[in-house]
Amino acid sequence: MMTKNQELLLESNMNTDRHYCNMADLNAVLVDCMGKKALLEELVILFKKNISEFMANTREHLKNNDVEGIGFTSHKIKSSLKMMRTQSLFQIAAQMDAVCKNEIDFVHLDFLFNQFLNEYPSVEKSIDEQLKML
Amino acid sequence: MERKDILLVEDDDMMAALLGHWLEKEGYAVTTLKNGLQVKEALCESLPDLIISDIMMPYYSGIELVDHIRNELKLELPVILISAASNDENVMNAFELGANDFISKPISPHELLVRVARTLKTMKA
Repeated sequence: MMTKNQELLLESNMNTDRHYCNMADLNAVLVDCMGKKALLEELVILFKKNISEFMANTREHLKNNDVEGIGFTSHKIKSSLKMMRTQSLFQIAAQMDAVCKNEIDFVHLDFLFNQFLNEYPSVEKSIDEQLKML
Repeated sequence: MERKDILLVEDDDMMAALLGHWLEKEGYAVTTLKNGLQVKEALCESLPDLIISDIMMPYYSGIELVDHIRNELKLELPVILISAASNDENVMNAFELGANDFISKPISPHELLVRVARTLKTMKA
């Protein structure tokens, strides 16, 4: 049974459609958590920790031109991004992973990483807002 | 009914928390480790009924872990590998080395639990 807040959130998701879905979809994550909000909250904390580690490690790997390291961190973060349904960030990480495997272009990797850094604050804000409404 | 022990090997805490929750809710006893090296040590102490391991992990991959279990320890212990990289090479490597099953991420709870139950049943038969 949905709470009033969950219904409002669902409605708001439908209204803002693609943009909102690009950010994250905590309703879907809550379903994965079998309705357990405490688990969802734990996943959000772990997600933020994973993102923070990804940013720090990738920054270091870029500084060292370590393509294997960037490939590893980009690949690993994809699971967390997919789990939170953060489509826009997932696409950036997938592109970084692909560049490491195929063309190995550090200018491109740097560009993609900066895109990720620019995009992430709005995703985190959306997650926090959705969490409050659940 | 006997409670089955599952060793979950996953370096991503987020994925480990979710998979662990699904498995425990189904009645399995779950121990989580973060990499293959820890598993090597743990297997000297006791054997679980099933191992579920990510493929891409630091220091020691899931593929290397299967190789160790099958070719060094010579154990029939069932292993299910999981990975976001579901390319043919990974899948073929996993099966050639003796993995019992392979699940591609993202994983649904239903798929995971069905595959776990099926693998345990196959091993028992």
